[in-house]
Amino acid sequence: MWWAAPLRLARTPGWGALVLVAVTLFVASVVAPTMFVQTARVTALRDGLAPGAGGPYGDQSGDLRITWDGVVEDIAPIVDPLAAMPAYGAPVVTAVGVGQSQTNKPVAAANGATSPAVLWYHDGALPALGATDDEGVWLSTATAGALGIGVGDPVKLGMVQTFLGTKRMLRQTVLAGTFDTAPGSQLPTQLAGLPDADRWFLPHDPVRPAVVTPLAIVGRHTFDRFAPKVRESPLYLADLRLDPDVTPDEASAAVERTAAFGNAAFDGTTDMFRELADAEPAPAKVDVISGLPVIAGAADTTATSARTQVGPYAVGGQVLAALLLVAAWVLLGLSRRREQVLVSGLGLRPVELTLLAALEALPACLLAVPAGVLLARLGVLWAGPTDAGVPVDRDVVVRAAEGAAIGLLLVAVTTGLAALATDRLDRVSRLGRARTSVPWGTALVVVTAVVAFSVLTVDTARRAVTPLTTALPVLVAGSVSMVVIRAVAWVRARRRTRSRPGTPRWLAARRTGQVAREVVALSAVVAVALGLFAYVLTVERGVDEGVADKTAALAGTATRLEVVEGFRARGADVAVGPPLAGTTVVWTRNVGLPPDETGVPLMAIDPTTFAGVADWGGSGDLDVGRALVPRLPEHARGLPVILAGDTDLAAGATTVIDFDTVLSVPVHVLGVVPAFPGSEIDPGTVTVVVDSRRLFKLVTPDLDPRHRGATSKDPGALTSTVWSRESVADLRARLAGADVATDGVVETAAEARIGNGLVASTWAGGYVLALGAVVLALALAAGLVLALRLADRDTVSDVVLRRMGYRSGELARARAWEVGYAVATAVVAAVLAAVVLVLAPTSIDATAGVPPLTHPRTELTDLLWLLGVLAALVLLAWLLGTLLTRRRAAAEVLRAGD
Amino acid sequence: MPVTDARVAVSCEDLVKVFRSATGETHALRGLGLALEPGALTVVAGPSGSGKSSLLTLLGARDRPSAGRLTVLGSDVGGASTGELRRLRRRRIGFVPQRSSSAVFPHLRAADQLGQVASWRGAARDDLDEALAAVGLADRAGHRPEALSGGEQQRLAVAMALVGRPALVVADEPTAELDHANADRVMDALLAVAAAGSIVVISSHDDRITHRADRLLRLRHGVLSSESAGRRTAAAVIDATGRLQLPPELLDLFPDRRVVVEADGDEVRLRRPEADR
Repeated sequence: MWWAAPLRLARTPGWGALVLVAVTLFVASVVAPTMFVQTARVTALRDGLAPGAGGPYGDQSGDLRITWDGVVEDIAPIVDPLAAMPAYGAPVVTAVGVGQSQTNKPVAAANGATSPAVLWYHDGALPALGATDDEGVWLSTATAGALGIGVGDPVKLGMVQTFLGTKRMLRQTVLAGTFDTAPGSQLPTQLAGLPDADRWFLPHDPVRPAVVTPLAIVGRHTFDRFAPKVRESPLYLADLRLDPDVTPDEASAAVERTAAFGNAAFDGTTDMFRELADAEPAPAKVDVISGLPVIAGAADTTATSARTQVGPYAVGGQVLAALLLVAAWVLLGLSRRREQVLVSGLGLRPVELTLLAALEALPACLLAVPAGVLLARLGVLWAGPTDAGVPVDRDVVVRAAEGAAIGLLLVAVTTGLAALATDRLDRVSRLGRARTSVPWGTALVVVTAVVAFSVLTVDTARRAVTPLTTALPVLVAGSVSMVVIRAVAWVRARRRTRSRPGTPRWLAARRTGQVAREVVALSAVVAVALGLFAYVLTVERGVDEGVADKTAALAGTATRLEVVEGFRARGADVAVGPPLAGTTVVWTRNVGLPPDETGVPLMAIDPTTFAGVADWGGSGDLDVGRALVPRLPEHARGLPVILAGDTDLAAGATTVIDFDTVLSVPVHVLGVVPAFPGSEIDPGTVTVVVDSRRLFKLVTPDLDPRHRGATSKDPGALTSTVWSRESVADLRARLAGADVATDGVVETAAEARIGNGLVASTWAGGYVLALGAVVLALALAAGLVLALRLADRDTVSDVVLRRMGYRSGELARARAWEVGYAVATAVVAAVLAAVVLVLAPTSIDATAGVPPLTHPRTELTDLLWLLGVLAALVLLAWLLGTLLTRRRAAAEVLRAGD
Repeated sequence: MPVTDARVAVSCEDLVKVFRSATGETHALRGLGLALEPGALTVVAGPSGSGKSSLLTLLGARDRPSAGRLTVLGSDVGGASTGELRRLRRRRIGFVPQRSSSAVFPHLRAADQLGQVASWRGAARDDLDEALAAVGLADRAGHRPEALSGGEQQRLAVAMALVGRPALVVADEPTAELDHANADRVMDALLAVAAAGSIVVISSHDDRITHRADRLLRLRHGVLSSESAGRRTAAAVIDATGRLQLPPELLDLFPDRRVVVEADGDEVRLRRPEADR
């Protein structure tokens, strides 16, 4: 038996497949949260890095730039640690003179003439120009021409000081070569096309910041030698590109090493510190420029948020998968009832049976490790944060192995308990022993009520991540199913069928059998699974639409770009009207709202263009505000306003808004909405929305941005922002084309989603959807088992009834009717359970701090799904019934007895 | 009925077995007294529902009595620990359940099934071959149950019960699915085990079985209705009109004075009408 056990399931492919599927699902449910969170972390990191990729070094870029402002004797103590930095490429060093000012000019001089030229070194620049050594200088052909020199001629480089007379500080070298500059650039054509050339540090003329000073390209030794002597201010930059496929762990390691590098620069015991301290012309200071610490931190925060939000669903999935595995093993045990009598008679110990079961399930569990990982990977790819790739590392494999071990343990324990239960010796049947019966139905309802009370009394903000929240839908679905199934049974017991005697439906209505309890149990499983499935559909939709609503409230639109001065002091058309088609201008500042609200965000909008540009969410909850926008220009007793958020004021109320207690403007409340596009940009309990054109007519001239001389520096000045549905790049390009400054602060909807945990909510919604697929599979499987059990029940009676004149098709239809009754009952229970859960106070909003609240949302398609399942199961039952009835030979059936 | 005879290996005193169900209680055995000695084959007969299977299940130490005392091979079935009874079943009791054709391990070959049981009972390899040969399955040792017919599967179940010659063999209708030849073969095997010193208790409706018993117990409504020694012969006279005069001790077997006469080749058997059911 011990040797045969591991291969036993392979001899019964059906059961083997069922157990393999069940244990694979369990392993997948165990490993999926880990993969999900890892993927969330990777995705959050990539999303965080994407906007700054290829852009300027700084807070939005993951690339690293190290600068130091002095010539050091040995660069190795600085560059070598950078070269060893994880996740980054090799450092590329640039050196440039930055000493130019209005009175200090870097020049090249020869033949009595001077021409602007600043010392510039870049790793690999000279070889790219064709230089064979570091000696001499390379000037542009224009500069060389202006100086009248050719290759090999002497030339002087240095600074000319024009403050209080002319003073030259020049050193002589030779012209090693000339280069043609790329169009619109001071870079040689050979260099301009190189990767990252647009991000190299080039010296700009301080008088004309947009103009790059012509370059005097030298070798590093020349630069090091010349810069201090010509009183140039040297600046060295080491640029490191972040690996585009960097993992979160590598990013974290890079952040740590970067911080350690920065600390070492100020640690007196390090070689780097000594080199910097001895730098010329003065001790140098190191600056570290990278957005990676912030971006990696945000990614970790997002991943943590995703883990928190997914946690309850993950636990739910694991419990569900464990139940499925146990149910599969119990069903397998039921199919071996006769054998269990045999082993009991042979005196096998429960522990032996437990070990035998473990041996039997071991191959399935081993296979389930890769299969579970693959399934989880597919699930996360399908419903997870990204389809870019799901990491499968050692942690995932270890977790999968742990899952398989737990699955094996579940199987073994189930067998052990079943062995104890079936061991009749353990059921002492002494006379006089009292029968105990547990009122399971009542207990279920009581537990449901207690859990519901516990969950719903938790604060809304924490309700979604409360552990019991996961159990509530299952308990509600179970209780409702129990009540509905009992009610239907009660009604059917008292209602005589109207079908004609002898028809399949009449037969179905009269059939009772040994499996009645099993039918009820399976119907309950189908009902609970379908109830959960229906609820999952509403939750997933609710989360998706809720995230869209909250994003709209947080960001207002896809892209917002602050324009500091561009719209001021230029009249009403510029201040209020859109600078471009498809944009709108929103003015903001804080006001007071009596009696005690201060710091209330005020949004002054252009009602004619705002509605078309603003994001109105996904659920339609924000449309109430949209309908009020055209009424903002109305003439009323006060300035018409829309209030968004919690306030005691109601539509029709009149009050005032205070501008720093200097000015009070009477307002008339058009309506109060829970949220409005952009109402959460500035935190506050309530946001006031007004028509900017009407507001500007009411405020004092010093607050009116239309007024001549208005600037952003005026006390209490409003801030103007361009809103657009375009991408940042497109908006910038179009605004630049319209001569609007684009260097203001940019904020996007994507950033708002990442920064407030909404992305994690979306991902959690995807996990819920995957869970829904599992419960749907469970419902279908239970329905299928129900059809099979009914077919088994009728094995003998089908033979008898056929001999009485029933046709096989009629018998199959009768069973299809029975399955139809059971599944229809389950569908009714599922619909009721879903309705109860949807109508109950929401428990799915993991970011309840951002309005509006997320609710489960229903659609007609939910009901169509349930009806589809009903139709599919009835069809399956009919097909199975037809096939099984025809396949069974009457003689074999009657000979087998049972 | 107190048991004091040292030879008695199985004894029942006022044995009661009650089954409970949702619809009430069923009294399968109502104060049954019985003593079984090694070296004899006892057949328990009786109509359906008379308590045969319940009695055999109790004798096989697979259930505990609701009341009364049951001692099997020195163990008090009512009071012994679960482990003690499990050891008893494992090493000393061979049991053939009802419809035993499905009471075999479906994934093991016939020889492996016997080998497994033999290992628990400490039996030698020769015992396996002997047990298989005894039930006529010597040439089917390498087959799994799926390749055996229903009758062969039942004989395999009997062989599993016999291997290692356990002290007690309990078989619930071991010949129910067998033809006459194989039924006789199984009976021969059971009688051989009994002759070797085991206690063999079987239930059967079949007169071909009951008339080969050393002892025949008839149950009715959970109590012993009659008990007789099997395989007895007695001289009787057939008069000129064909009437058969039975001696008084046999006449007691027909209390209602009705008899069914069966002719089978050279043999003529007399039995009570109730056995027809």
